[in-house]
Amino acid sequence: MNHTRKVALVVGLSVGVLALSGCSPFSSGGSDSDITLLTLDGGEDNLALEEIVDAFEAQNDGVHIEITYVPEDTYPTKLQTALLADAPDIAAPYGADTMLSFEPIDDLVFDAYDLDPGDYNSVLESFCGLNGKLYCLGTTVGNMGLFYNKAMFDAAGLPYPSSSEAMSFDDFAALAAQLTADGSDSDKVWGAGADIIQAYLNPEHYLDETGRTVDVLNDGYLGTVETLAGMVAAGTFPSSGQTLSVGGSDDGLGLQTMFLEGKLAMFVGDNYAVDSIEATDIQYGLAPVPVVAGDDPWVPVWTNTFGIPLGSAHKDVAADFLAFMATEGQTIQAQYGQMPLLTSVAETWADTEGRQQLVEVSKLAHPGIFNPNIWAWNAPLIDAYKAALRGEPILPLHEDAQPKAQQANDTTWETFDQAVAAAGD
Amino acid sequence: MPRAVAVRRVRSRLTPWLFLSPWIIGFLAFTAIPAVLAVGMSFTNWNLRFDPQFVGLDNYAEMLTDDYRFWSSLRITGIYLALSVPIYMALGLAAALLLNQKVWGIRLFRTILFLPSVLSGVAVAVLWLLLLNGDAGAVNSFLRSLGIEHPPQWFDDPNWAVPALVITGLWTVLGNGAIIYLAGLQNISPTLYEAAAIDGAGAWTRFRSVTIPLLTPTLFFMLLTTIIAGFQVFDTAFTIGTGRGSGDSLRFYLIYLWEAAFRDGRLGYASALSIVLFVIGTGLVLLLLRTQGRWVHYEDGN
Repeated sequence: MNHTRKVALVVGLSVGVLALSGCSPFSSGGSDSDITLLTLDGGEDNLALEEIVDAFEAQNDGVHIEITYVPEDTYPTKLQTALLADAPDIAAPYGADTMLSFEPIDDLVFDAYDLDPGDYNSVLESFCGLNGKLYCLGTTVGNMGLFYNKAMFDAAGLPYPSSSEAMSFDDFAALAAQLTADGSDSDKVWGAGADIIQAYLNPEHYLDETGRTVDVLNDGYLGTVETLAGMVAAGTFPSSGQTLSVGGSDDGLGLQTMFLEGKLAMFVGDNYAVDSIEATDIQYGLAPVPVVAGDDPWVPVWTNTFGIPLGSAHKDVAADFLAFMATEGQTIQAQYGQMPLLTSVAETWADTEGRQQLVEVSKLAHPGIFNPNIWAWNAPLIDAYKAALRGEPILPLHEDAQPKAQQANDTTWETFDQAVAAAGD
Repeated sequence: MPRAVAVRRVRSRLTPWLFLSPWIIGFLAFTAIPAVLAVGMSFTNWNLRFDPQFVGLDNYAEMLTDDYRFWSSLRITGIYLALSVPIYMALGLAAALLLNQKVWGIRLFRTILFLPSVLSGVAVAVLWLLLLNGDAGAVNSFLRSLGIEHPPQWFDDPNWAVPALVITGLWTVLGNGAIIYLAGLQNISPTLYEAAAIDGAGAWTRFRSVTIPLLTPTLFFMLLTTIIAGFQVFDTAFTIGTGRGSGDSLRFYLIYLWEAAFRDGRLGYASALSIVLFVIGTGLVLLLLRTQGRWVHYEDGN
């Protein structure tokens, strides 16, 4: 190799190394006004975020926000490594333990911009609050509700469910029986359907008040499973296979499809169904999800989250953006279908009776038992629930599932406690 | 030694290493060093948010005594191996024997059989999810037409979820296996069959005494690769059996390892899981390698 080639090789390698070293999407090599935002890929929901970002940039000369979307299955790892290596200026916390790697925004955003957390849906506190501090805010409210087809209730001569009072599971089963129209799977109308109960049952029926001890061997939990299993056995509630075959998937989306096709009189699902239902002629109503007899209404809620990582290099601009998102951003969000987090804007957004009921139902939400990540440990309970709905004996299933769920819950808490301890150091 | 000769000699020694260097660098950076680091990490408690803490054998002890998901995922993977290895091997061989016939259009049949192998595992999983639907899937409709009143609920029933996944994999694995068996079959000299026929051997005897012994190197290769593939089940099981609302029935070992590392952030524990998987896999492969002398017949006599 002659001298010229060696020089060319060295120069080439150097350029390559330098180029690679600048590959981080959160590299601070840009100008002071280049803000990085890391969030989950929300599909169509990205459009609202992008318009909020455009509007913010238009109001702030020289500020540019670069959004990086990451699919949900890889987001936790991406977030963790990003927080360690070269923190984005704004990011979506994912799970309670990651919030401790974010700035509390009570002072930074709410006090500094004279915003009142009380003006927002209570999901702000239940989803973004930890140890009395707020770590994030969002643009939308997601919640579970009981959707019902008014025409089917009218045809059965039944009054519509209340949007402020929750019915018991026994009432739910009785209603479903009255709404079911028998036939083969292709022309049958089921009275009711619901996502798995872990998606909408108050955790106080399977966790103690600390959230650390799993207890499903109680009347509230087992009774609920028994009621729902009885509905499947009676043919008033579609089995998982029936939901898959008629609705296309065996989850909430499958139920939504069945509802849209007139195969289901009511179903427990999330508010993402509103847009799809309103695109049809179906006259629908919304009520709180069923509860264990004697319980207050329980409405599971969630929001998309945006916070300021501790390592953010542009905390002031990030706070400015979150304040914008919490105010004008809510109005922009309202144009994109999903219910905004700011209650006053949500009320304006609710321009149909169904949406008004959705807002009413979402207001019933309140913080409940804290657990770092229910979905990380509840697989044994889901298996037991599904087996019960197939007709297997309920008590032995849950006697077997409880210690397994407890073991996995202990691991979830251990990880969370370690994150809390690390944040305190 | 003249300087020019010495330089030439050094250059001739370095040249092969230079050509090998991309692979060596890749191997060191992405395989060897991470593997060594994983061993070290398996003795730590580390979840990226804090510095690794040395915990000795705690991760291994937790696995053995206090983690039902470890045993459950190991059991599921073991059941899958026990079912899939013999089924995939036997049916792959059967398909290859059929494809080895000299009939019109056989090349087209070979292509058709191989086609599913190039499909995405996720797409295949979704397709079979519908075919194996307990209530209205084509498979159960067929079983009901045969008079089976209560056919399996497949993916809806934890007891049938793994067999259902074996069936799902069959479609894609069959073509791959058949092609390799076919290559092995076509390497067997026709003169051996002619000699056997002259000696009065029938079809079964020729298969048992000529085909099988001469195919044992291919069978051994397929056995090893099918077992290794069994330990690597991920995409189809992940598509069908994970996510919100899923239970434990399709939590294969590799999926649990992924969850421990990338969902729960327990990198030390996940490293320990990977070491155990490595030990089990290596042990099984070594065991097979030790037994091959007894039943694998290479043409060169080794």
